[in-house]
Amino acid sequence: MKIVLLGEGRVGKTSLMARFIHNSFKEDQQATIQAAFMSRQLQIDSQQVEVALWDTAGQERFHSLAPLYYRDADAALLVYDITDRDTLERVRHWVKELRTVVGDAIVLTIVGNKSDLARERTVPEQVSAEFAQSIGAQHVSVSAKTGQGIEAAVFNTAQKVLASRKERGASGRPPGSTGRRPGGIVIAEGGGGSDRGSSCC
Amino acid sequence: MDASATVLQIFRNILTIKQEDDQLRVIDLQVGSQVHNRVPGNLRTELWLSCLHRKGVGSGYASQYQAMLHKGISEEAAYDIEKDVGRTFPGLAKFATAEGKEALERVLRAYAAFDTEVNYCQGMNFLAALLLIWLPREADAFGALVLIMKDRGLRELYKTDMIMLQARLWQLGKIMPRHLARHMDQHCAIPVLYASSWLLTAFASDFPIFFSSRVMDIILADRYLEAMMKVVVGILKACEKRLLPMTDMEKMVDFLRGEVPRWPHDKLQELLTEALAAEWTPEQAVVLERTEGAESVVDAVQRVASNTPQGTEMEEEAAEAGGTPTKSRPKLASFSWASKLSAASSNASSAGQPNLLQSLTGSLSGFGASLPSYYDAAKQMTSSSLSPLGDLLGLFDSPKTSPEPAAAPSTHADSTSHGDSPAGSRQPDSHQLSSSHASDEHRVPSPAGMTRGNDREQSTLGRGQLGSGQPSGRHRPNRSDAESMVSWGSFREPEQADAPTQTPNFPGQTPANDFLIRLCFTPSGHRSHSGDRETSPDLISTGEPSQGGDASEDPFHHVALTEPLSQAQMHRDKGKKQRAAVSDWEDSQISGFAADSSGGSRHVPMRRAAGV
Repeated sequence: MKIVLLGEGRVGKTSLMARFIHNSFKEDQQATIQAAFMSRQLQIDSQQVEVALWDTAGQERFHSLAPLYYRDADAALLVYDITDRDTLERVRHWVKELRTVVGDAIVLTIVGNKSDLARERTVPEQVSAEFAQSIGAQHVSVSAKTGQGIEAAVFNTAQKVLASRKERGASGRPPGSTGRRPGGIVIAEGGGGSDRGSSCC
Repeated sequence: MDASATVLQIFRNILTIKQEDDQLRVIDLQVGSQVHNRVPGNLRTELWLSCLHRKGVGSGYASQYQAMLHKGISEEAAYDIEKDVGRTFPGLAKFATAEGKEALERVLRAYAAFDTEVNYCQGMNFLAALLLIWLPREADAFGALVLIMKDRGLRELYKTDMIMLQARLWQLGKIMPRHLARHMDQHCAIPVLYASSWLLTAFASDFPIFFSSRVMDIILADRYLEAMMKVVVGILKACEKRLLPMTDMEKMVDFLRGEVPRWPHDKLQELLTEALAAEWTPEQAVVLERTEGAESVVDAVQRVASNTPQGTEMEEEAAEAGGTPTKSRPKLASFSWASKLSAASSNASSAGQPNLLQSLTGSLSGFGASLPSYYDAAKQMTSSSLSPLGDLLGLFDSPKTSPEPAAAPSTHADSTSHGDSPAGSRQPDSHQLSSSHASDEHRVPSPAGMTRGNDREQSTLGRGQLGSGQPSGRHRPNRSDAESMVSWGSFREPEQADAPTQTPNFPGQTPANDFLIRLCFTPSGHRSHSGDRETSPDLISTGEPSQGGDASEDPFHHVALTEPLSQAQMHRDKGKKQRAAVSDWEDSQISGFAADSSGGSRHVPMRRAAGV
């Protein structure tokens, strides 16, 4: 199962991944220049699932490479920083783009990171929760620093992917797709070039 | 932070500073084709300053630093920079301090002001920080940053949509060992997954400082592409045995990005030396000259996902012989869109419908490479005043008196975008292609039928494209327009034994600088030829000044490790051991060149990096 982490720079994507995979946290995490991924086995409803988390570079300029990482992803964790309003705006852009490019085939979870900095919060939880609801996504507050909420965020997302796969009767995904590919055969419905291109970048 | 955490932090800082100090005090310095093992760290500063002040180019940039600081930049860029300065080499003591971070921030802001098109992009923070480590004056670091971005061509990778990065990644897939490429493709471990940050940051984001610094030694002196690609290919070659048994993409990528950078110091240094000593095969050289028809990353993914084999050398062969690149693989989506697009665009411009192009281009954005974007890049490159190739630390621009046009890099290093040196047999119109001046990027080929606009540069590019009726110089593809471009060896070939070597005039010349000039620019002997191939091995004196005036075409060959280095004798002795350890390898390399082995017993043949 492939889950991609998207969001503005410095919202904590890499830290989130490090917390989930290694259960570790580095105060001075280096900036991510290129996507990286790591995987971990999860036990979901008596099913062993290998979850590959893909971390991406946050800056807009790297956007042209982003489809590579999200196109055959089963889910996306759209990360924002609860102390920085602009980062939620960026999440909105991502949602738009993902909906345009891969349609509903991707499970979305809105993740508000840095919940340990609750006192500096500038994004009211209600705002992001409502936004998540409006797009049919889950919303969670987490802290990569303390580890709070991260396990559950990934777990619930993976669970939702399995559920939606069942619903679709596994027809939406080409057989043999391991979830580890950087991309894959275009699976977007009616995926004409101009269609996709209208995405925001 | 509680007390124990504070104490821990202090210990950690001390440890970091200690390691950092070790890394910076004694270094392995790459001066042209030669490696000086275990020399004092300040020589790197001197070398880089020499590169910077060469012909006044870099110092010209440096002098604009204050002005650029006062020029405003966009809020977005300022925000992006501010976000990254704290996340650049966070383990290094230098950037753990407020002063260090502020210096880095200022240099990046100045660059963003200087280059409004590229502005700031993640990755540049590592480049600037690396420069600041060795060039403590901010203005120098800024000058050097502009030099590598603009003159050495790195900025092309950073431009919108990173088209050129994608083209380079495509090239990489074609110049790496073929069976390894096939194996990795089969398991979807394509170059974008491991090499993007290497190319963007000169390895600084993944590899230790000593590694990226040595790569930077070459980038500052020469063009960017040559050194970088060699090192990436070198890494892949060094890892071949480990990679081939792996069948898991995650493991392969993890190995390359996680494990290799942590190899021991000596092993990595050796890897670099070997990588830089390798010479391109004609096939590789052809690929490196070509970006037209390059596969975008998205295309690459589609290809590996559908298990379509990568085009073979035959493709190149056909391309070169047949005039147009032949595609053995089915055209992939964005390529064909792009062709349509280009056709549409040329129609549009003639029919006065400029908006069509814009809308079409817009529709492709976000999906990686499209040919029109290549054109933009190409156009940009031609019009930008990239510094001439002759401007290479002076090593390479001794006045050429040879009538042989193919091997005559320009000496007009200060002129700007248009070359004035003979371009060699491949380009009928040498003036327009400005071949020996051009950076490699200049030669981005563009199919003539697809060009848009009517700039002079475009016709220029059209002429330079691969397959536009080039003579069939198949076996010496890099020996014509830029034999200069592809191989350092050819830059520094004095055609006549008595050709005076130009000693560059360094503004702000210091005694140490002086030493470097001697180190780098001692007049060299004649160059020996064997057909197209350079035949002399590079030699390094092990202490005594070289006696063999005829030893090599390499201006470094006299590198007289005399007084200034004598303080470093101790370190060098350690280095000798290292050199001895690899001499078997070297010997086999050198015998391959049928060298005029005038080095004599006093010389330890140094690994050759003529191709660098």
